[in-house]
Amino acid sequence: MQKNRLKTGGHIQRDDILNFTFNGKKLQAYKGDTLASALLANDIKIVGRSFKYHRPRGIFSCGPEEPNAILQVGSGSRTEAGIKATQVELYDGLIASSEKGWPSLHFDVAIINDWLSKMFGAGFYYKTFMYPAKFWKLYEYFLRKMAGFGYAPDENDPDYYSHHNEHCDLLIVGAGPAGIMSALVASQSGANVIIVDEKEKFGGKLLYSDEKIDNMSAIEWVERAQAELEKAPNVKCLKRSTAFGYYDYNFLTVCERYTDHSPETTVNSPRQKLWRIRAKSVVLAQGAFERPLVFSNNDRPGVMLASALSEYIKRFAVLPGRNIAIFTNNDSAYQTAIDLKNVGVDSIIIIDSRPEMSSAATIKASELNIEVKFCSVVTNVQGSNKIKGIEIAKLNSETGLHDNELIYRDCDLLAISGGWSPAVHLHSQSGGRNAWSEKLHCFIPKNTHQTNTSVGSSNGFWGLKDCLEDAKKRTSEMLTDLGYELPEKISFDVEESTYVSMSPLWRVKDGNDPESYPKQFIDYQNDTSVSDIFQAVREGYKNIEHVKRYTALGFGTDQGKLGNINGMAILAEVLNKPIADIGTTTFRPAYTPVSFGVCAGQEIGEFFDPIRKTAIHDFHENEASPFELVGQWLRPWYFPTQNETIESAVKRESLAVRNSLGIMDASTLGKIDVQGKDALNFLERIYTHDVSKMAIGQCAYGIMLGEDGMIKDDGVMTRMAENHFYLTTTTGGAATVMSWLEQWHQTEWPDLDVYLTSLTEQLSTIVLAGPNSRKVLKKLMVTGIDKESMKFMTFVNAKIDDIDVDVFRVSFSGELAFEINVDSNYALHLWNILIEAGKEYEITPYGTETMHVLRAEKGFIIVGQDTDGSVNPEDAGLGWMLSRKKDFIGKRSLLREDSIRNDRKQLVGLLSLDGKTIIPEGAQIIRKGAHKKPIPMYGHVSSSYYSPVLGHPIAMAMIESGRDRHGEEFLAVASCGTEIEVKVVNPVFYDPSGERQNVE
Amino acid sequence: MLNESKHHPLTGIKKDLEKNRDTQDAFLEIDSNLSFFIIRGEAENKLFFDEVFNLLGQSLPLEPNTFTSDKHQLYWLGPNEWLLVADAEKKILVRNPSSKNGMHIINQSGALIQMKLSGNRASNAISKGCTLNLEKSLPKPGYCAQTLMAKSNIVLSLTDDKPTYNIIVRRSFSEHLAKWLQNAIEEFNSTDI
Repeated sequence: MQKNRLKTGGHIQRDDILNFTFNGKKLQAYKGDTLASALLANDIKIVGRSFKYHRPRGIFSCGPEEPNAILQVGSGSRTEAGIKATQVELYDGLIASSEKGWPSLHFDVAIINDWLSKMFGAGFYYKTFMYPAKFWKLYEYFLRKMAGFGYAPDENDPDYYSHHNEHCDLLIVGAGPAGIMSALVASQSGANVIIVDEKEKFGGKLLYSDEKIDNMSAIEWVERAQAELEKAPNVKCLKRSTAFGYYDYNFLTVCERYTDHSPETTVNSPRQKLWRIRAKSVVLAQGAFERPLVFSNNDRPGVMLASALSEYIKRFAVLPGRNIAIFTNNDSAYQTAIDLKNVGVDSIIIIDSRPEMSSAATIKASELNIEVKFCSVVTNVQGSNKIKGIEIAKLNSETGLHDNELIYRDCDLLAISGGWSPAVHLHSQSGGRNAWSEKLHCFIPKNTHQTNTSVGSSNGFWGLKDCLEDAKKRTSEMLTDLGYELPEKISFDVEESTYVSMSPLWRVKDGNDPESYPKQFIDYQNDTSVSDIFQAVREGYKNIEHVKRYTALGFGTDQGKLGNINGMAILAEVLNKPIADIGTTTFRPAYTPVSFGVCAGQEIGEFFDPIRKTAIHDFHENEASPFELVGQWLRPWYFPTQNETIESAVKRESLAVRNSLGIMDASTLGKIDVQGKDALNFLERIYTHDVSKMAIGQCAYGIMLGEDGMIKDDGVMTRMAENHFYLTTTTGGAATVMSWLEQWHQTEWPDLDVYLTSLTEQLSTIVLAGPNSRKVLKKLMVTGIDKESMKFMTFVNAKIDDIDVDVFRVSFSGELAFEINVDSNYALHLWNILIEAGKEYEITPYGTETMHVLRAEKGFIIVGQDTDGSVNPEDAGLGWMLSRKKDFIGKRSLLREDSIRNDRKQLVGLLSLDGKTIIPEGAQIIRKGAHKKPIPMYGHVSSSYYSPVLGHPIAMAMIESGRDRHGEEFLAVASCGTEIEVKVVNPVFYDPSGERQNVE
Repeated sequence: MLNESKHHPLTGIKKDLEKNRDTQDAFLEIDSNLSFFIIRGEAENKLFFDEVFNLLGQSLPLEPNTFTSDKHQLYWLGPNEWLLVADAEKKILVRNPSSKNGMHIINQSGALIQMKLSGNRASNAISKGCTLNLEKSLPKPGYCAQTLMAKSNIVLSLTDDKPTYNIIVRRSFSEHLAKWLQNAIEEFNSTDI
């Protein structure tokens, strides 16, 4: 039984009955309803409880400005919190519930907040829950429960989401009368146009207008226009699509909803699509919001916006009351009275705050015998769970105060209209400014910051004819600027607009302290009332941005849609300033709430970020190696045999390298090919060592510094030919170093004849390390690698199994080792050959963990682990690599006072005194017995491992004047508080003379 | 012998993709057996220009963001950088480096992977993860662009009006991109089934 449904009218499909559930109650409505219209049709008066005072609230509006009907919608894994009932298209089986109210929506014990509301003024939470500080966690738990913002499902989202990047000449936001007119003009000019509207149908306010365009009903005109636009090849019409964000360079985001109106029935479509639109220019035709009026208890269920009531009657054939009062300060609400009359409501009274006057609207009202009380205001609403009646008083139009003689009148619905505010949200998001119009009593867009224009009622034109003309004119200007020819004259025949501007009424008052009346709400969603603004000013908040934050005015999903203008005007009154001087607050995306899903789109799970795999990855995967994510690369961490722990695997792997033979995939190393006549000259400027001293075929360890003199990256470089070098970088630094080199070449030294090409992907690198490594290569007929013929830090070309390889005799483990570069296409094959050939030496694949242990035993740093951007070569013990003869990037910075002070942190080795405890990385180094705070910190542990070959833990650390402190004892304090006694030693723990890399 | 020891990272995906071709509005293929080279040199240097012609029998394209397709594909990547894509069977160069008359050629055959996306919804699939204005950047076959797709650097080119797009991506990103594209085109293909 849909008690409030009219027998005829509306754009609903009465033969398509939909069942839905609200707060457990089974209800029916029709296709074409929104959840809000369906609830009103079923005479549901209370839909939620207010945020702070838990006051009962009913449906207030018909659009995205809805402050009260914010519900939990959907069930199971598809449930969503914070959904505005006015924006939900009803579907069969929809389940919705209120987010607040315990034990029930109609009786909420937290209403006590309302009774005590005098205590709960602005800033109550800030002031009350500060002390004691450690209790905040406890307070937070209860406050969050009280706030009642619904819940997220526990299951994964069953739907998928999509993204689409689009470009157009003209993006039109809003398909009301102005947006449609704009699109008609643009479509005929041949420009590439996108028009978006949040509803399932174009038309905006025309969907419930009695006006005629070109002698057609408004709806018929809309339908024709929509058909024409949908047919035009240069126009894209996006319905159920909300433009919710406007960013720099005319980049806008639009959320298109595909299945929200029928979840579970649509097969294989994404639920929503995020359109990322880059438009040459933008027409903003978002329309305007009707403002509430501010009086006592103006939030009672049964108080709603006048235009919303008209829309419910005419779009949905829903009449949520029979004895209706209308409170207004302008003409537009008279249309609501006429609409009520047309559907047979006789008991109507208009309370108009303006002095007695005559306009087309008032004349029509008197023709229809509608009772009008001019120069009157509603001072209070009776009834708590639903409106029972109102108190009316005469207004003194000179003082703006009402007298104290109150007339009581019964009513079951109060429609209010405080005038209109252009929806300037996207204009503001785009960086545009707004200016206060003394004539229209609202902020209108002024000074655009990007290429856009606001048209129609979002530009302050209220009448239909004015809106259409404004849209046509401004769109034409925009198209001319874009270089398009304007179409032949587009004409339309519409009656003159008759709207008479409103007379401001920012709050109903009688001169008494506003805190002495019942609450007068400004922002319903955030429970901000008039007394909060007064209090905020009293406590010293005078700037609108401060008042906004202190009172929460226009916060959250409201984003200033409903109450902001009234709030600013009241602030102006309290401060005794003109409204124009108050200014607006910042509107931020999202204009309406957007799901996380559509923001993420396809980039979830395995697609969140690229996973890079080396050419040898299949082997590692077959060996069930756990992977370590290094940048985006998956690198084998260690290669466990059955049930082996990481500790025993690393021990086995590192001993294999030390004693016989290990093999490692080092393909992720950054590799850069440098060619050109000036290659040497270029590299001399980049690296710190004397590159010119390198003979052809020779390799050298090199470091590069930033302009600040700090170590930026390191690697081995090889002189392949006179003017041809091959560089390696760290895995993580590959892309950065490449860009760094290109930047210097292209911006500072474009005169140098140098070509840089990345070889990171082209070449895979296999490391053979261990005393038996040469034997394996010899077995594979690689020649020229004898101890005598191939010196440490040189390279040779060779062939293995007919595959070209470059063999480098370099070592990051301190053992005799070879790095073999091969075309990635053949890397897996070569790897398998080496594994096979190495079997007699028990060749052992090892991962990044063992690599770290081996290099730490030798005291080799890892840039980014042992250095952190504040370590210069001297600090790292690499002062010997700084050429005195030439200049290089960063050299001058090494002479800065700070670079040469003698208490800089320096690289040292650390041993735990007990010889057993592994010192956690990141531990801070302090003096033993230092207890007086602040405790001086001498440095930190940068690398720490258990060394299997030495049989005890080792660590590297950066310690103030560390090289002078060898032998000193300290405490290493880990983040968990553990204290370990340590001794400073030389960072080279193993084979300090370097003999092992020179075995036969 | 050499061919047998070659390993293509997308062999598995390639087989997957070859099913259901007829029912698809957006079809992804993996190309194998191609070789890739970066050519560096100064276009205004006639010696260099002729050297390339002598080697390839084909001139370098000089109009930015275009490619020529004759014996091989030659893509303009920058004022002094081109990408050569050739049939792997046609032995062009065996070994790095080759530097003559100001021409520098760097083998990238192990570094790059090419895939093709075609069908009447191919552009939609690309626009899911690529911000280029396809109509403007790739107005007709013969145009190419270096861009990002699904967070991977690619060379994107339009080869015919079907349309067919060639996508050249770095090897280590190729599995990610191919799977991403496979996932992306499902949206368009399933509606017809």
